[in-house]
Amino acid sequence: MFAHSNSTRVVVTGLGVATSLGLHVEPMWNAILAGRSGVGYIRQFDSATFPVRIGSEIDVDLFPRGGGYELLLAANRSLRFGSWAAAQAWKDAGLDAAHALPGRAGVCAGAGGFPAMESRIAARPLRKDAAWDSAWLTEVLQERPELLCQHQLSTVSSLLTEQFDLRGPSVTIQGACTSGTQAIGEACALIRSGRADIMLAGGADSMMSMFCVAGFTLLGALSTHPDPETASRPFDLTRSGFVLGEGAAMAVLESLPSALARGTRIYAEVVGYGSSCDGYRFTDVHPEGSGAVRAMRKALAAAGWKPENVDYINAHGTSTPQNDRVETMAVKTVFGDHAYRVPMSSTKSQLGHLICAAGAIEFVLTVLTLKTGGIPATINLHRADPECDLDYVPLESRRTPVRCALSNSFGFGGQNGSIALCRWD
Amino acid sequence: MIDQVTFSPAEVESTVVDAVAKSLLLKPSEIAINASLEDAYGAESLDMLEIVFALEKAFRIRLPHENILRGAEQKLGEGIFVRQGILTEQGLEILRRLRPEIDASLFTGTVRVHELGRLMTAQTFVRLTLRLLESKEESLGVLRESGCSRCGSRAIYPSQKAAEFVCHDCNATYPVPNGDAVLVEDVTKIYRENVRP
Amino acid sequence: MTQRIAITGMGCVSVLAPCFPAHWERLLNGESGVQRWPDASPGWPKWHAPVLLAPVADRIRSRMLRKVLQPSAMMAVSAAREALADAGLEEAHEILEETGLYIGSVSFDLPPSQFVPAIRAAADDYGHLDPRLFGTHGMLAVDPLLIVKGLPNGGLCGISIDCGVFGPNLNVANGSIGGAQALAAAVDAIGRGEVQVAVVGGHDSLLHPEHLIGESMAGRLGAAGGPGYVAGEGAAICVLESMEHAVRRGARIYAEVTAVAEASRDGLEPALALMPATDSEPRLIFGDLLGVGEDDAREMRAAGALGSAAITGATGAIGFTGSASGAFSFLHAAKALRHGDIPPASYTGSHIPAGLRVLRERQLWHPGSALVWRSDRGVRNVVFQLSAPVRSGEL
Repeated sequence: MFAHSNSTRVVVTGLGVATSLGLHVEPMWNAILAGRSGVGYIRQFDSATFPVRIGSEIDVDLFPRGGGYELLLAANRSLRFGSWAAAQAWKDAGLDAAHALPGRAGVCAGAGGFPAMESRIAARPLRKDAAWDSAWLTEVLQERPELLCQHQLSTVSSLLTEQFDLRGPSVTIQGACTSGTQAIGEACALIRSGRADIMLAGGADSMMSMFCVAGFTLLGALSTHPDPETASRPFDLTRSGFVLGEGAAMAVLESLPSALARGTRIYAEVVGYGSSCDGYRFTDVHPEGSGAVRAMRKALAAAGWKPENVDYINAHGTSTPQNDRVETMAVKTVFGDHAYRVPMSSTKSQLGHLICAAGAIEFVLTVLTLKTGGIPATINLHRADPECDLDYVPLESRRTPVRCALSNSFGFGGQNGSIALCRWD
Repeated sequence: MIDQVTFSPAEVESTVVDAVAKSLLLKPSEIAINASLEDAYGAESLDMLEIVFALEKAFRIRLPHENILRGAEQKLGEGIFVRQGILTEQGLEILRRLRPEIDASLFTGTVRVHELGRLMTAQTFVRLTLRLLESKEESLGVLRESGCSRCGSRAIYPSQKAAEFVCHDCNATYPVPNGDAVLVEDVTKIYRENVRP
Repeated sequence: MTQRIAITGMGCVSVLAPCFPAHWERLLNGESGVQRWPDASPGWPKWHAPVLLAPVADRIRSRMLRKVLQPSAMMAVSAAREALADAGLEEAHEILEETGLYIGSVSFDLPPSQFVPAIRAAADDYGHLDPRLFGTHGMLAVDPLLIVKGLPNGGLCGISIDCGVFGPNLNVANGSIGGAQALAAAVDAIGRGEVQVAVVGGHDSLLHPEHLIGESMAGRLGAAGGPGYVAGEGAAICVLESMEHAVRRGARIYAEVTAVAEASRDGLEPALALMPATDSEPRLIFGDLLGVGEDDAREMRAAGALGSAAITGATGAIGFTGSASGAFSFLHAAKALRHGDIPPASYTGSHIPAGLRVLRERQLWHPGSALVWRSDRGVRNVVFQLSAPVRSGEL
């Protein structure tokens, strides 16, 4: 399995992002290490009367217009973010100018969103005496056929397949909060199985519409702290839920022979991936985090690592009372005493929870940690929960060489993913 | 005048049992009022959430949504009721007094705060509902006496929002008492009068 | 592939039946579940292939799942439970803890009724959505469980919870190719030795208003007998297992998966080219036979290039089942290879090349292998080769 087997080794050769802290890797990374928060008041709709009014939002006006697919991109925020991040990663990997083997390049994207009913009403108001029926809906969709893509999670992969003329596998993953991690894990699997040499992999999401904010609020999942920049406080005693975020992150994953043949820059190597299901409850996490434990152990085993080999963990760390406590417990179970020595930070403290893109952006951040030796902080951690007593890199980022890292995602519904990466020297 | 809708304890119990049964896809006759909803019926936090919303709508109250002991600690001092996730002796004493419907022996020894959900019964919801109805009556009583604080009108009625009353003359709104605040007050009172060492 | 892979259990829910044996019998008999849609208003499809949900819901153990799962996700749980029982693994808890779970699912299943009350409550006098009204009044009309009910990975999580499957997992939400891609991912995972056993397949319901409207606009929906397809729903789940594991525990083997290939953009041919050569003549194909002109032409072209071939497909009998369709074909092929009994296809499309026979009658025939393929408008294409089980039981 993975690094210690005969199967192909997988490396990271390109990165691209779209986040509230920056639409390119370098400025975003600088903002992350500076401890800035990308959370503000929601602007995509007037949230004045909503119990939760904050989110980690991207200003879509910052994106250049034109260049094709504009109707589609305008209809679907996550599509715009995903397309942007993918183009960045592709270029970063030198593939825009290179002659990649199209038959052996594919895409595996985690995709999210939610049935965008708001846009149907915006297209054609529904008077109180009018029926919401197929005739009305047909009129809306005939006038604005691009709105159909909002219901189709496959659109991100479809668009990228066409944009980059990919002839290999074109896959869309949906595992709630674990989607991004799973998309990257599956992309690696496709390369290791020999079904592709190059894979665009990552995730894109935007769940900050009225219905989404309302839905998560009613579930009691969102932070109730009113100040945007301090609302996401993973592992803190006063945490009360997560902050919704939107954005995308894409990486180019490549077989080592392909990367060496192209002479392209290598960021890091993916050496292990562990996937498991809690099988416990729909939204409650297993009380001992057994699924998370299994996923991390599998990742370590695949990488051929002992727990002591790990220098850094990018946590799932959503800032919900339940997750942070159980995740801490799971890490202690896997790492024993070493849990107290390995820094583990949650970048959701700065970027919020990007849901289907979370695992992807956290993968990119972990790659950057390996490459640059910068360890992001968990900001807003002023009073650690006594049950959360590990080194979460509170408040300030650090500079320490990191060789071996884990990036974790533990999702709604019980799907868990853990990726093991190591620095490329 | 404010609509005076009162509920007898029997009506409250019946509505609660109906809401619990509906959420758990059972018949009301299958719900034992003192059984742990989690242990006896496999209820999870999502079910509890649904029950809370149903009761808030039915009775026009705001039930508590947060952890009451932690809320009280913010006023009285950290670590008084919960330490390292485990209830202190004072925390246990508070719960014994606050939740008489639960067998007191369950509030002894090592009790973890995140396991308290297992102790929810239908009776717990009944007790909470009666307490919040009582609190709502108190604040409505004040309004009935003095009228709208902005315009003096007595034309105060339930608004479309479940947990709110509104003055029909000047649109001033009067939210019903917040369940978290009410229960934190109760805990504070019990602590000061009975439990403080 | 370094591991041989066996198909050892099957379960399904379709318009024909809520379990595989009855579904298979009706399919072999040439029955069809396509029926008129009684509420058809102008512009609305007049035909559909809906599943009767009551028997399905009764099979689900967990009350929470019955409450939050959308119809096709419930079908997936029922089909998975059936497949595990069929494989003799329903109570094998130690094995199930490490069993993989690879499911192709629907995008979003939430009906408009979940949204309409809130929209009405938040609409101003002109019918525009007023965000301020949404915050105060609209939210009160939103189901507190909305997000949970809308989770596209509900089927996979439901199977995990209800059947006790805890291993590596993947939910492919990729339109109608999802089930086929989930099968490919599982085959790879077992091939790499990451899992020994996997629960795999697809579930979908195309009876969502927006899907129907979109496909209508594209001229792809039709009546029984075409042109165009009839929208359906269902779930088809199988148990895949490494041959070693299957033989060791004495499992019944339906068929073996001997090859898988996937390619994008250029139709089926690039993936077909990666299939191993076989002596089996004519080639037996379990395909789409969608009844839509463009799709049929593409499929016929690919089949024609194989030379002598025979093709069957279930779309005419059960409607087009989206993400589940590739999985249905996969199950049908495996069952057919084991029993030498090939179900008929009802297909009225044209472009049938010389050398290709569309099997319009039930066939008693023991081919050594069969191809299973699914093409999503030629953009995404997955092909499998299945082989008949080795009768002697030796590896």
